Amino acid sequence: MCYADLLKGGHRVSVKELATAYAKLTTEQLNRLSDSEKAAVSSLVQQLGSQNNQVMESIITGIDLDGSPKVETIDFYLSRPFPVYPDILRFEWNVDEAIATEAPRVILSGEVGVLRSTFQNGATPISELPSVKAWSDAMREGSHVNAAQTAEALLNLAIKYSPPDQTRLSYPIFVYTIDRGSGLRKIRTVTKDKAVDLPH
Amino acid sequence: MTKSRFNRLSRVVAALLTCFVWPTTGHATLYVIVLNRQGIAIASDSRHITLEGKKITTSDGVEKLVSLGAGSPSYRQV
Repeated sequence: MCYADLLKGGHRVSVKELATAYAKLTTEQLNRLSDSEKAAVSSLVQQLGSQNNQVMESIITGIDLDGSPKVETIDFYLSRPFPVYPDILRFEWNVDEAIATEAPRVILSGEVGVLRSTFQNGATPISELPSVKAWSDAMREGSHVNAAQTAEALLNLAIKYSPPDQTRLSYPIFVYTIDRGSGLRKIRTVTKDKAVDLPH
Repeated sequence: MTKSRFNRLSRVVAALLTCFVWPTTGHATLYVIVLNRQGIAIASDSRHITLEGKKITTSDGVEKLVSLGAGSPSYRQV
């Protein structure tokens, strides 16, 4: 419905409009689940300790109509819209937009625990690595660092330093770039021990 | 259908990445995205996890990025 409405207008669609249409359509579909199915999802979400009843996160990223690289992060979550009827559940969404600036920005999604603790907690095995220190300094000083190498190296560190019992992430790593000239390209398939170091 | 509409609609070059909070239906995933004025770089792991009852099965080498814009359904590979 959302996409058809957009088509009727015949206008070009921004990344934000695309993200909003996707969020509305997905939420509409999720809300077609029966009450018992929603309750089952809610139970699972609580059981797994999800924050803010988050169920799913999607990212739509690309070069927008104005030529700016943009990243739209859409969070889907369960809410209880009527406090007096706690059994009534609804899926909701919100979107957060990141627009490119001169300073490079790193956005993490999914199993972010290992990298988040590196960025937030100071001294961790990853943050003590010479390559990570050099990269952090370069980022702080505003030096140009290769974006694809940065993404590949950070993902490699997340897999390499995940707890031994963690089996959710694995090689190969796929590395993609999106730019105005070449569009979307897969530039590397990286097997274990073949990832580049962080650039600096 | 949706993808073809995206192609007709959108002149933007876009990609969709999705991860579920729980592994029941698919991806236990990490995406690292680096955004700057020159463009966007994305790194993704490739493990796919399926939970059936209490049995967990994994498969590796799964690409999780979906191309939505120009160049779909296949994107250029180097």
